[in-house]
Order: sequence, then C-alpha cells, then structure tokens
Amino acid sequence: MKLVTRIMPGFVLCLAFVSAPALKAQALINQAAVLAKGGFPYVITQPGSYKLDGNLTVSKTGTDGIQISANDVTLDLNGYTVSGTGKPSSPYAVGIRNPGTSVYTNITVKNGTVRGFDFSLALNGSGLVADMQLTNSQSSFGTSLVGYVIVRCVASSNAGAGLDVNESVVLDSVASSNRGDGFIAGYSLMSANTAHGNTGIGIALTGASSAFQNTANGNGFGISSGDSTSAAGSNSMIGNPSGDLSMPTPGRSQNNNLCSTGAC
Amino acid sequence: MELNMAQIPMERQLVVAIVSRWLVLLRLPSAEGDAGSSQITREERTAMNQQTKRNFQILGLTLVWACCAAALHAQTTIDQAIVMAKGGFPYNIKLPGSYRLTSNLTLPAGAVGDAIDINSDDVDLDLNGFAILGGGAGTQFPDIGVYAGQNNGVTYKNITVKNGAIRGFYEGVYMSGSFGLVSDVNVSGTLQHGFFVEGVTVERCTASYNLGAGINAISSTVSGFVANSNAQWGILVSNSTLTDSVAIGNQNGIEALNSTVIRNLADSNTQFGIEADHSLVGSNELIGNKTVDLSLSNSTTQNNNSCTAGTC
Repeated sequence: MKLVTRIMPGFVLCLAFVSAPALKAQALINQAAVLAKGGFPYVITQPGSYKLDGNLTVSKTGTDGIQISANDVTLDLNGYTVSGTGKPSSPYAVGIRNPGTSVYTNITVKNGTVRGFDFSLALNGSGLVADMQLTNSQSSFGTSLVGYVIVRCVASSNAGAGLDVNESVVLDSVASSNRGDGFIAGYSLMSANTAHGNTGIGIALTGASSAFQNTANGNGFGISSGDSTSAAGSNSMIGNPSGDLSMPTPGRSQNNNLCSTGAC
Repeated sequence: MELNMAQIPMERQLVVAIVSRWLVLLRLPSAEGDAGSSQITREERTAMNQQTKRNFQILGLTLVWACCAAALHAQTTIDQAIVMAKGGFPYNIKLPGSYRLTSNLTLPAGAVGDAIDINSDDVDLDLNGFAILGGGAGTQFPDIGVYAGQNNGVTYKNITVKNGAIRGFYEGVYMSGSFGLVSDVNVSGTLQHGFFVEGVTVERCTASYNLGAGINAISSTVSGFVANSNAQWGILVSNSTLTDSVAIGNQNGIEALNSTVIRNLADSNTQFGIEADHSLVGSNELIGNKTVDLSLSNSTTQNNNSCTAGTC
C-alpha cells in the first residue's frame, strides 16, 4: 500500500505528460477523410477532441454516420451537417451513435445538424448535447438519449417523435412539426422548452418526470403523463386540439399551468 | 406588319440576332465579286477558306446551343397512360425542366407510395388544372401526392408545383428545403396535413377537410391561403410569415410560433381564431371563434386586430 502511495503521484504525472498532447490534438473529419479511411461509419475509438471541417453525406441506406466507441470524446460539428439518405432503412441508420448496447461516458456532441437518418442521435451513458439541429429522421423516436444534458437543440420535421430522452435534463430546446410526439421524457427534467405543431403530444412525460416553464401550444395534445409521480408546473398549453393537460393525480402533480380554458 | 422586337421574348430575340448575324457571315461571294476575283492570290483564297470554315464551326456550335436550349425548355407531358407505361407510381422526375399534366392521375386501389417524386433541381410541375387522386380511406392512404424533399442525402432546389388539386393521400404536398414555390394548389381529404413545407413560398393555395392541419409551414412565406374545415388546425406556422389568408371552420384557425401574422381572417373556428407565441400579430380580423378569437403568449406583439367584441 505504501509503495502504491509513493509511486502514484509520479505515475499520474507521467500519464499527464504522455496523454496531454494526445488529448489536446484535434482530429479533423470531412468527407474525403472518411472515404480515405474506408467510408462510413466513421468510428471514433480514442478519447479526444474531434471536429468537422466539412459536411458529411452518407448515401447508403442502413449505414451510420459517426460511431463513438470511447469515453471522453468531444465532437464539434462546427456548423456542418451530417446527412443520411432521408429514407427509412433496416437495420436502422443513425447519424451519431454509441454502437450496440455499450455505455460511454463524458461525451459531448455540439454545434451542427444531423438529418435524414432513422435516428439522428443514439447515445447512452453521460454527456452533453448542445446547439444541435435534429431533423428529418425516419423512425418512430427520432433521437434517443440516455443520461444526457440537452441544451438549445431543435428537433423538427421528423417522421416520428422529435426527442426521446431518459434520465436526462432538457433545457431551452424546441420540438417542432414532428409527425409524432415533440418530446418524450422518462425520469427526466424538462424546463424552458417549446413544443409546437407536433402531431402527437407536445411533451409526453413517462416515469417520474417533471416539466416546468415549458410551452406546448398547437400540438395534437399539450402535456400528458401516465405516471402518478410526474409533475407539471408553470407551463403554457394552448390550442392543442385533443387536450391541453393530462396528469393522473391533478391535485398533487400540477400547479400554476395555463391551458386554453384558463388556469389548470 | 412591322415587327416589334419588344413583344418578342428575350430568348427568341437572341436566336433572331444570332441567325441574322449568320446570314451576314455566311454570305457567299457575289457574281460581281467572283468576276473580279481573278486577281485574288492563293494566300487570300486560303484565308477566305479558313474564315468560311471558322464560320461553319461557329454555326455548328450555335445550332448545338439552340438544340440544347430547346431541349432544356421542352415541356414533358404526364398522363395516366404515360405513368403506367413507365412502370406505375411514383412517377419520378429526375431531370430539370417543365412537366405538365394532361389528365388526372389516379393511384390504383391499395397503393402505398407517392404519386410524383421530384428528384432534381429546377423543376416546374404544372398540374394544369388536373387532379392527383390517392383514393385513401379509413387508415389506408398512399403516402404523398407530390414529394420534393430530401433523397439520398440531397435536397433539391428551385422547384415549382402549381395549378391543380390533390386528394386522398397521407399528405398532399411535401416540400422541404427547396427554395421552392407552391401556387394555386388545392389539397383535401388527407390523413395528416394538406401541405407540409419548409423553406418554401406558398401562394393562393387552399386546403380543406384534412385530418391534421390545412398547412404546416416552417421557415416559409404563406400568402393568400384558404384553410377550411380541417380537423385540427387551419394553418400552422413556425418561423414563417403568414399574410392575407383565411382560416374558417377549422378546430383551431391559425397557430403561430416565432412568426409574423398580418391581415388574415379567422372566422368560426371551433376553438381559437389565432393562437400565437413569440410572434407579431397585426391587422387580423377574428370573428365568431368559439373558445376565443385571439390568444397570445410569451411577449407576442399585437396591433390593430379586430375581434368579435371589437379591437383586440
């Protein structure tokens, strides 16, 4: 134990020197670089920082765009777009994903657009998704995130739901004109989001989720939960043809909301 | 009759100018000229021959250009027999150009795909007063009447769809990211929205008896639209401009997010006339909408609207 205590600082120092340059280097990804490496999917197997310097277009159905198979990865789309075929496929094609059922932690995906895959994103573990446009996905659930913080994202014009999250926090995001639900949130917190023009439910809460200060106007339904432990407060839900708010235990789980007919 | 060049289209004027120029360039030596040409040297004769050769080369190029221009502007006709002869629906437009219906198009019973797919830039599709009939009923509807969205990672641009009717599809017109134009098209009886457009200009279209919205417009400009008797919304807009349009007898009339909504009429809708969020709403007329004429939220600016009970 003593030996371990003695060598540990030196080991950590060595590790820092060895890994610092690797961590600092930023790999650039573009269409030519991907094709030169054998085509899609582009697979990230090492921790580090990655940045697009051009759009990526996947023209083969059933093929992913980028697979992340490592922890501690930052992927900056740098304003560029990752495009799929725009047609549904089997097996599912995903824009950016963790492959299989593996769980990866400390992943950041930011600043760009993913369009035309079955799923835009499929990430499971922990991390941040920020400033992303997620559009024209072809499956029932659009984007699937477990364990993430999602901020300032826009999920629009998807064939199914806009954004499907579990054990996550969604802030300042928009789900608009999706042909399913806007947001589906399980065991999650939804705050300051906007759901508009979605065919299904604007914000669908499943197990033990909370929705505060969101706007869900002009969807098939406004905010709905089937779970008695969910809560909805200070939301606005107006002009939803099939109903504005549905909570299983209204007296306890909803407060200070505004519906078409007034306070609800 | 004197020819007035101003009345002739610019392209034809160009052709006339080029042909006139060629009549001059190709002019062969006259008899008088030939009579006096006995003094022409061999070098001069060679130079003349070369000039004539060049003239013919340029003439050839001009003819090729004229043929290409004519081909580009040729109008392809589409009718039921042509579609069936080409393998049935969807009819796939893969080249730029003008396309025109010369009959109604009727999908066979049980069809599930689109009627017309547009997979090219610079397409003008004129429905020419005819209808595309999907024949959907119950929950069985073919997909889209006219689809101009993304395909194989490509989004096509400069697409126009105009002048006809579409009935009985999942959605009537789907146009996304095309910088396109949809004008004078009526869509009715769809399972979802009559029109789904993104980045498009929509002019003088109508939508009725659709089970979703008459139109769902994103980042688009919609004017002169009439939505009546749609089951959920007359007009849904986000990040768009909606002007001079009418929503009458729908469940909700006009639903807007981050949009400008000016000079519209919302009449006798069963819930809201206009419901707007983060939008500018001005000079609209709102009459007899059952739940409320005008509902605004989140700092929406309003000015000079007229409701059933007066100014609102």
